[in-house]
Amino acid sequence: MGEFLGLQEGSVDVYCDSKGALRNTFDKIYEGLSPYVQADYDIINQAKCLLKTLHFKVNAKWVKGHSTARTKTLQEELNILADMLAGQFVWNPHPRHIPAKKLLPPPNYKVRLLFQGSTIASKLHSILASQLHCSVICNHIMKKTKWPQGTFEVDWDAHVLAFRQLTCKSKISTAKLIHHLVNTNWQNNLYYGTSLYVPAVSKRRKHWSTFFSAPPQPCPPIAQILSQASSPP
Amino acid sequence: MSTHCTDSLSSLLTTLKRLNTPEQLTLTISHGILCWQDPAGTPCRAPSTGQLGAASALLATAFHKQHHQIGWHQFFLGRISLYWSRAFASLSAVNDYARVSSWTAGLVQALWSFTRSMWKCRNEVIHGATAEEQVTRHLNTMPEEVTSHYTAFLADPSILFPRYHSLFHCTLAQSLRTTTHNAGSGQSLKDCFSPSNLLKILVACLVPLPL
Repeated sequence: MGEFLGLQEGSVDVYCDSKGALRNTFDKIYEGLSPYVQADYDIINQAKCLLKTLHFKVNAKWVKGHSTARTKTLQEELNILADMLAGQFVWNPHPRHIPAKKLLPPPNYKVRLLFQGSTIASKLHSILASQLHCSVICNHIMKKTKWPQGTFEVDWDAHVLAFRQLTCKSKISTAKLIHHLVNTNWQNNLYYGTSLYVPAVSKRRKHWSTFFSAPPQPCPPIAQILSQASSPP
Repeated sequence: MSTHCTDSLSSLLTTLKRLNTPEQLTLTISHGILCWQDPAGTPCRAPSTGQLGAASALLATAFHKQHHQIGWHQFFLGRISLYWSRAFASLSAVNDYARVSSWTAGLVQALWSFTRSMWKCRNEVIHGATAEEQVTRHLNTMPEEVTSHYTAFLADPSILFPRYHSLFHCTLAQSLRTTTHNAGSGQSLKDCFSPSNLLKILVACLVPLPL
């Protein structure tokens, strides 16, 4: 932009809705590995190098992102516009701008880690941890639960996402339920030698796989309920 | 299947509708639940089996994986096949990863909600929904417990320390009568099981104290 407008002196205000990106780009880098493993290091490094080539001063300013205020400032309007343009580029990029899977190295990189043909730009810690430990943990779980590989092919991402969205209290109760840690007559029989049968209901074994069908009460057949529920109102 | 279970299933299907789940997908999941509940009466094939098209093939694969490899019990514990999200993306013509993952997370949460509701219902049936029901259940099982403790004590008095033997000085009939009298003396069951009465009832029932 400086080259296009021919700016040789003065100052320019840059607005960004990420305080972290501003801090990482404009603050002084300290010695050590930490700055090189932070999120989006490749972009931040490019921004730093670009800043050095400019002949005018750049002031970093924060603006609230995705503002929903009724009366927006010019900066907020511009932020929304920039976000929309970025979104359009991500979902419908120009064919010439679609990046190759193997990213080209930036011209001034010092060190980079390659993973599956691409430079790791963020989530370095989680990627390293999953690559080092994930297969061992998966094998341990499969061995412990006696699940074959096919059974283990579950949508774990959805599982994790759903679990993270629960409240703290629900997380505890849900974890106990899905990992069979709640107390049942089956466990009581196993550990304390008590009866397997349900008191006061019926003489039926109570195991984890059967509690969905308790208790027996007269009701319409499930097929009727399902058809009623799935039909439009 | 209980009324509560069918109500919970209806609620689950309503949630699926709220999540903008395509009709075919809801139908396939419903069919899978039917297969699981009644394996003899329902053919264990996805409704879309044999139909042409990528979406139908993905639905059939998701059903097959869930039914034969993962299981519907695991489905209700939130362990769903990877192919459900692909079928959703294909049927809804959605390429947005965020929207697909939001749908799958919503599905898993709805399934957990169903499971929690069933567990709560099971506990209410077994232990009672209100405090009065819980006390009634407890009082109903007391005579059996008293009788079993009496029998065990008479068979082998050494199971208790001698200092607790005085608890068994009255006869079984006497202690059972005391329990019935305390429970039906015109007091409410809550009052009967108030902390002040609890000790009296326990003594009357001659329940051995924990050693």
